Amino acid sequence: MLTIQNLSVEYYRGKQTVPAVCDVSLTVGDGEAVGLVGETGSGKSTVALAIMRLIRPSEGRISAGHILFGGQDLLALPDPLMRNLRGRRIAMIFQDPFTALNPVMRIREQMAEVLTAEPERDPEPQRMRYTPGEALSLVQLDPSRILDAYPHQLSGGQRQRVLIATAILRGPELLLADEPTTALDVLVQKEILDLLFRLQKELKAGMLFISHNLALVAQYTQRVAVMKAGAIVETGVAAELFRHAEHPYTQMLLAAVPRWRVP
Amino acid sequence: MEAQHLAKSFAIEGGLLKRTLGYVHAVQDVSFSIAPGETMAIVGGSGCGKTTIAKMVASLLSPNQGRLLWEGVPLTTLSRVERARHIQMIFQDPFASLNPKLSVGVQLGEALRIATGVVDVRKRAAELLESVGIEPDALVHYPFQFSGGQRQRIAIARALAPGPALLIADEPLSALDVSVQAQILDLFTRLKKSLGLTILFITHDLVVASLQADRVIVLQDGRIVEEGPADETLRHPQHLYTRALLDAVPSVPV
Repeated sequence: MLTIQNLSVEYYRGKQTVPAVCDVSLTVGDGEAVGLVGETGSGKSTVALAIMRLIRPSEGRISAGHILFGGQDLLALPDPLMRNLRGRRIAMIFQDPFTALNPVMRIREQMAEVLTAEPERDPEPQRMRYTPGEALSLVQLDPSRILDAYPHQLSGGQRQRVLIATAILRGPELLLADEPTTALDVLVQKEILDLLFRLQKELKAGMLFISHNLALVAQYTQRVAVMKAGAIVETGVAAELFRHAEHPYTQMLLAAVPRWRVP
Repeated sequence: MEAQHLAKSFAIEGGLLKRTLGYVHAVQDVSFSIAPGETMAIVGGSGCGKTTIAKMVASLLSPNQGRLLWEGVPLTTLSRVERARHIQMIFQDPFASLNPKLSVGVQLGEALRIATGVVDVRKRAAELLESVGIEPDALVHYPFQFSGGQRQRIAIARALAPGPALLIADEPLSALDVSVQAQILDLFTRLKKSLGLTILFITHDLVVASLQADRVIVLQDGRIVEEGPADETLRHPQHLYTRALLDAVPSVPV
């Protein structure tokens, strides 16, 4: 469904350019969950931003490659058509639920914006859509309490659930989750990820799950790509990577996860 | 260091006149003691009161009830400078805890003014940086020039400057990559050995806590629900909440 071919992205720094992503190729099949792992600065978030075409023209550019989604190259798509896709067929869940929500808008209004942003011309047939209330119920929040609340009245976990509810409003075919739980504690993290991946299966959506924690990614995805300094150094089935990681970088990431034996 | 029946509640204010509508009981009747050279971990989810305890131990908050003893003497009878010499704290976010407008050298220098018996401030600052694995030429640089892991090391160096016996580490890893977390944990282990530090380690990750600490306290809703040797707690968690915390930690199958 999603095929990234030889993607390269560079950012501007003064008069120079700094490569952030170099020659990355990656596929996400229909309904498949793929993990993208790497340290801060490895370029994994840039890949997600490139898919959404959200790299600011003033900050950088996609210098090479293709991103094929549903048979069309996203990088060649005119802006209005790309806008139709965003939030509707491809939805992104950001890292920090504290900044991803507008602090001066009620949840009801923020979620409604996604639904009212009608495309200029819509070649796609109308896909499934939820009302904000339905979507909130799906993420196990009580709509009567949440809809009229402001973000600051919600806990971190509740905010992340609101972001997930907003992402699934249009029944997207592809979900991009960029470190969706790093701001949360382990208990809430597990709840949120269990929920997110259950919804992904129910929607039969593809998923690109980005994280710096290899153990976490392996728990939820079938296939994992490991990224270092802008390039993918190893790809494999999650369980296999644990048994014999080939690249020294993958081995290092694995060694960093605290090990303990269950009695 | 001993804590006896600590309790802290915060008022919920509301309305036009900021009347008190009720109280949040963040910490309720918590007692513990830490022996010299020991590492103790306080573990629990968000909002369980672990940071409130850390702040009370660091004298950044005063308890509503109970008292804190330092070598048998109430902490409140010590002066601010004395307390700062004994107890130092490092925080979750190294991007926020260092002053962005002061060079590393100036920040270490300020912390060293509390210390006793420092002759050559510059030399001592360089030594501190070296002890946390940062090159001494970092002294003239500013926090934004460092990565998250390096900043946390610098924050640790600054906390060590007054020569504290007790170091409180409040979620020192949660803003860092897993790979960097492992390096910082190694650093703690090394510092503990070389300086004989006593460490109060606050975390939501029970596995990290158990690997790092000698003893573990599990906190839920401001109360201690389980307490014991780290190894024992990890192998045979008694309380349901402890088990839930353990299950939630992503781990590599061994």
